[in-house]
Amino acid sequence: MDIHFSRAKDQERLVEASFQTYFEGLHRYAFTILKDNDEAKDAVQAVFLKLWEKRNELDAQQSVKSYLYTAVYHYCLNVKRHEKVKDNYLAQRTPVYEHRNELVSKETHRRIMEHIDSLSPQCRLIFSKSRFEGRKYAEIAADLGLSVKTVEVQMGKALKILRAKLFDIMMMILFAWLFL
Amino acid sequence: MSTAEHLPYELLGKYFSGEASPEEAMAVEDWIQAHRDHRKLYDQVAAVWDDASLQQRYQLPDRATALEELKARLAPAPVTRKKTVIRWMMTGIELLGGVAVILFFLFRPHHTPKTLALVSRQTETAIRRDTLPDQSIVVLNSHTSLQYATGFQDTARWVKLSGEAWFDVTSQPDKPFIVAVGDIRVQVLGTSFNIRESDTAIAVMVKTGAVSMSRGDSSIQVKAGQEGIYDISRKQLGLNGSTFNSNQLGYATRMFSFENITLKDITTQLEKAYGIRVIFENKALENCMMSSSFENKPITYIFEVISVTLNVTCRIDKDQVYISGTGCGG
Repeated sequence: MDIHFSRAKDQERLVEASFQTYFEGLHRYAFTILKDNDEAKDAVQAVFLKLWEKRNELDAQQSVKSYLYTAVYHYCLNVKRHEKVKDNYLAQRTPVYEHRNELVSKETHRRIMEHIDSLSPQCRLIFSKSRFEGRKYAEIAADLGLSVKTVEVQMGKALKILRAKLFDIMMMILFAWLFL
Repeated sequence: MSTAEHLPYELLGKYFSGEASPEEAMAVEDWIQAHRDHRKLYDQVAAVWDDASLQQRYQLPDRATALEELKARLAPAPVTRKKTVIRWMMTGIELLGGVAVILFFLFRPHHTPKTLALVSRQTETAIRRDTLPDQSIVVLNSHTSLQYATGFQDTARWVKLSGEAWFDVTSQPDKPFIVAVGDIRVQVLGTSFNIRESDTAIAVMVKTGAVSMSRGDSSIQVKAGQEGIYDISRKQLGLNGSTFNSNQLGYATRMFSFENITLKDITTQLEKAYGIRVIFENKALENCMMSSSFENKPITYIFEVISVTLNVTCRIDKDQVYISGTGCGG
């Protein structure tokens, strides 16, 4: 799957092929950090512009894939730092809510919130701090006097339980509806 | 029971929380690609994550559109560099400063969104008719925005739409006209069609010619008289079984074919198409029924036909039309 640099003349095609192969994964990754679809797209574009500029400097055996993921990571952290500086000036930014999302998933949202409420207290607290307050794992661990590893484990547990509750139940209902 | 039990939940948790290192992000991607079922399970966990909060949810932009945007930004770069190299050889180091400036602009951390000059058109309540640089005609319905790059007629003609618009595209076989809307593309050579984007679907109604609607690798052809539908939540393209009602395009084409519908419905459509306001002085007249067709007729003509057909009085005062009278044959 990985594409490696060879000293070929058609670097343009290499950039394009890398784009085709990695765009989706990179954009998804950038979104997890930036939480904004457009900003994530800009980040990926910027990284590919940089790749284009540096195409002759890169090591022959260096993996484009890890170059791109690392570049996206650093770019996104940079954007976040800038945003923090901006936020300090703009006292308070009201979060952007997408209307479409609000309309489509109110019902699903309500159902998920119920399931979140039924998680064990520690699990629920950790999940909420990460998902709703956007706190870093390290911050959550420090707040609660836990290890970062515990936060990781609890987050994994929350996702596992929530997925099972929402989807396995849905499958069961569908199954029952189809065959009974 | 299934692979669901062996999902790397902790890794996914870190990933969705924005805590994943580049290596971990690659591991997630590799895992997703390793098996078809993995992708399905990933989507379920992603849905849990997205639905838990009412903030912006993840949406993958169309890859081909993004690539086109990238190319548009890459294009000038090689030219600049080639020139620099040649001139550098000729004139020596005096151009080093120039190179430094170019590099500065290329590597500048915030060298992102607006390097491409964009022309934007946006409507509020009024409809807007416009001619694009390639002489194609576009009519924007209310609350619609359209963007294109300056000099967009030089290669492929790309425009970005959100909302609803009618296009009458000039035929230029070597320069396809491409509309990016939501996460799909609509590509044409020369034809007239309408695109309507709503919360749940993107509908493309083709009046003449044919267009192709595509998302990623899948695409469908929509021919004259047909309506192609993209279901946003299911990410599915398909054709509407029945033919569409071309009155829906009246706001742009001013071509109406009314078949036994109420005067209220008729005037509602005319209001949009002609930017007028119709006032019923006698509310009972709203329910008068009539059939008639108009092809891009002046508004005075249309109301004359209406008044004769229904035996009502239509008084036009600038962009207001007053309808009065005792009744319609009833």
